[in-house]
Amino acid sequence: MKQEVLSYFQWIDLTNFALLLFVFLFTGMIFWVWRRESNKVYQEASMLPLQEENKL
Amino acid sequence: MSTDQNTGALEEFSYDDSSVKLFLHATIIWGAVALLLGVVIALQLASWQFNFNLEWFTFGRLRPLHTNAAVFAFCGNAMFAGIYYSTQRLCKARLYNDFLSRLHFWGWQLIIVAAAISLPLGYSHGKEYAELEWPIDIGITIIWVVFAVNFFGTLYKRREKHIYVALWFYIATIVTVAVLHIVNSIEIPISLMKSYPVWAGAQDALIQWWYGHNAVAFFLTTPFLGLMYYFVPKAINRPVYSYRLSIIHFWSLVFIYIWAGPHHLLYTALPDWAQTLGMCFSVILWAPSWGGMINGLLTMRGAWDRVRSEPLLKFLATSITFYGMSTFEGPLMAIKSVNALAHYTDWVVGHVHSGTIGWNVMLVSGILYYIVPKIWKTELFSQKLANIHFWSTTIGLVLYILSMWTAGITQGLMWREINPSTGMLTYPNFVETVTKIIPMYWVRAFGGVLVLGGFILLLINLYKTIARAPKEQKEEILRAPALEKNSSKAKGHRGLEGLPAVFTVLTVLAVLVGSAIEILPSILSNKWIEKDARVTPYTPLELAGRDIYIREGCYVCHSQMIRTLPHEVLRYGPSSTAAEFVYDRPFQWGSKRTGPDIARVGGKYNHLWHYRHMMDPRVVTQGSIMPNYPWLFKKKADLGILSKKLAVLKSMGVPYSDEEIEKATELAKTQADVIIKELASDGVPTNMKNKQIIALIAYLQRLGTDIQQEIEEEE
Repeated sequence: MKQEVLSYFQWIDLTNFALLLFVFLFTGMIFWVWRRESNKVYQEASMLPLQEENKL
Repeated sequence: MSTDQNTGALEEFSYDDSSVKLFLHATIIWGAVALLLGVVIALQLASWQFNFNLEWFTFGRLRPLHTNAAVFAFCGNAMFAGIYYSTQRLCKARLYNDFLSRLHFWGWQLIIVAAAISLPLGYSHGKEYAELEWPIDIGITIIWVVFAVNFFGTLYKRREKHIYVALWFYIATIVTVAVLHIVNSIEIPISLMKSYPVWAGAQDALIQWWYGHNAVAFFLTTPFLGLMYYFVPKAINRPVYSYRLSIIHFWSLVFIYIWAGPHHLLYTALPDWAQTLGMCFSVILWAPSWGGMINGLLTMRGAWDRVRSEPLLKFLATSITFYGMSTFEGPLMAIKSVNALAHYTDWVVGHVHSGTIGWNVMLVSGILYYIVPKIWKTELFSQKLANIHFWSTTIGLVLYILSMWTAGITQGLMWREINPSTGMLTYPNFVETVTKIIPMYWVRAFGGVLVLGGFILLLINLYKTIARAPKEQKEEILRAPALEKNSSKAKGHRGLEGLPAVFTVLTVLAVLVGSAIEILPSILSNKWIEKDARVTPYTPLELAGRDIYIREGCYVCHSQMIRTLPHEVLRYGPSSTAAEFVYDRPFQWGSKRTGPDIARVGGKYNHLWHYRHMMDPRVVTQGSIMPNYPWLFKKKADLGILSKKLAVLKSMGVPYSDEEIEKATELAKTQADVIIKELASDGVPTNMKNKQIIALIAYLQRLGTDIQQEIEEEE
C-alpha cells in the first residue's frame, strides 16, 4: 500500500508534518480544554439547558 | 448565561412553537409510514409473492422509498422539530423568521411527497440514499439553505452569549450535509426526471460512499447527538456529565467521521490506499463515538432509579446504549478481514437497523414523549402505553438484529466455504445460500411488525395527549436581557463558542481535511485509474438497458463488484478492476447480495435464459426470491432519447463518435434485431423486439465481457 501511495504522492515530509500537526493539535486541545481555571466557565455552560425561561 | 453579566434592560420575546408542532406532526406520521414500508419490504424478502407482480410495488423500488422515508422524512422532520425547539430555548430567541420556518416545513414535506411519488415510478439515480432525481435535488438544496438561514439567523439574534454544545452539533450538520449533498449530486440532466452524474465508476463509488457514510454521520448521528446533549439533561434535570468531554467528542467526531467512507468498498477495485485509510479511520472513530456514549450515559447517573418508572427515560437510556453498541459494531465490521465476511450480507442490514431503530427511533420516541406534553401544555395520555411501546420496540429490535446476524454470518460462511480436497466451492449454487436464511427473514419481518406496532401505540398515545390539551394555545411572552455586544472577552473554547462564524469555518475545515485527502487524488490524478484499451463504452441499446436496470433498483440486491477474495474469483470469475467501470454513470457496484454478483454475467447464459428469468425467475432458478418483471415484456423501450443520452455522456468525456450519437436509435434497433433473432429461434414472438426486456438483455449480456473476451482469446 505504501508503495502505491508514494507513487501518487511525492511530498513524504508533508505526511510526517501532518502526523505531528494532528498529534499536537489533539494533545494540545486536551490540555487546553482541561485547564483548571476554566472550571467555572464549563460548569455554567453545562447548566444552560436547565435554565427556565423568565416568564412575564 | 448568568444574568450578572447582563445588566441591560429586559427584552420581551416569544417562541415559535407552532412551527415546532408542525414538524412534530410530520415526524409522527412519516415515522409510521417509514416503518410500515420497512415491514412491507421485509415481507417481500421473506416471500416474493408480496411483490404482487406490480411495477411500482417491487422490492427494488420500495426499498429506496423505505430508506428515504426513514432517513429524510422521519429523521429529517424529527431533527428539525428538535433543533427548532432547543435552539430557541438555548438562544433565548424566537426563530429568525416565521415565514422561513413555514417555508422550511412545507418545502420539506413537498420534497418528501415528490420522493414518495417518483421512487415507486422508477425515477432514480441508482445511488443509495441519493436516489432522488435532479429537480428534487435542487429542491433539497434550496430548502436546506432556508433551514441554514433560519438557524444561523436565530443564532445571530440570540440573547445568550454562549453557544451550548448541542448547537455545535447542529452547525456541523447544516454545513456538512450541504457539502455532501452538492458534491454527490453533481449531475447533467437528460430530461425532466433523468440525469447522469459527472462522476464515473470507481470515482463515483468513492464519492457516493463518502456521501453515504456521512449521511449516516451528519444526518443520523450529529444532529441527534446535539438533541441528546439538550434533551437528556432536560429530561432528568441534571447537567451533562462532562462538558469538557463534549468538546473533545465534538471536534474528534467531526474530524474523523468524514474519512471512514471507503470502508464500504473494502476488497473492491478502489485503490488499496483509500481502502486502508478508510478502515483505519473507522477503527479510530470508535473512540469519539464512545466518548459521546459515555458522556450521555454518565449524565444519567443518579437518575437510574427513575428509568424503572419513566418510559421516557427508558427510551433515552436504551438509545444511548444502542448508539454505543452500533458504534462498536461499525468499526469492527470495517476491519478488512471481518468485512470480507460481513460485506454484502444481512449482517450489514442488522448493523444499520441497530443504529437507525436502536439509536434514532428510540431517541426520537423519547424526545417525542418529552416534548409533546410540554409544548401542548398537558400531561402524557398514558404512561402504560408508552411502556408497552418501549418493550415492543426493544423486543422487535433484538429479534431484528439477532436474525440478521444469524442470516448474514450463515450466508457469508456458506459463500466462502471451499472444499479443501477439491479446491471447489462447497455451495456453488447461490440460491442454496438464500433458501437457507429465509426463516431468518420471517423472524426479521416479525421483529419489524413489533417495532411498527410500538410506534402506532406512540401515535395513538400522542394524539390522545394532543386531544386533551387546552384548546387555546397562546404563545407565552418571555423576557431576557439583551446580549451585550461588547461584553468582556471570554477565554478558551468558550471564547470560540461566542463566535458562531469562526466556529462554523473551523468545523468546515475539520470536515474538509479528510474529504480533500480522499477525493482530490481521484479528481486531479490521471494515474488514479489505469486505463484499459479493451474497455469500450456501452452501445446505445445497452445504455437503454442499463437505465432500466437502474430504474428497477436491481443494485439493491445485485452487486457488480467481484472482490479480490479467492472464493469470489471461484464463484464469479476474475476480480473486478477499476478500469472496467470508467463508463459507468452511475456506478452500480451495489452493497448487498440478496442475489448473486453479476459483474461477469455477460455470456454466462443465453438470451432465452434471461428472457425466462425476468418473466419468472423460478422457472430457471428453483427457490429464487426475485420478483417477476412482467411489465418489461409489455412496455416499449425508449430508444428515441438515446441520441441525447449519448451526447450528454460525450460531453463528459465518453468517446462516442458524432455518427454514433446521430444514429443511436438505429444502432439500438439493429442490435435488438440480432437479439430477437436468436430468441425467435427459441420460439419467442418477434413482436417483442421493441420491448424493454430486449434492451435489458443487451445490457446484462455485456456485463464483464470486455475483459473476458480477451482472456478467452489468449487461452
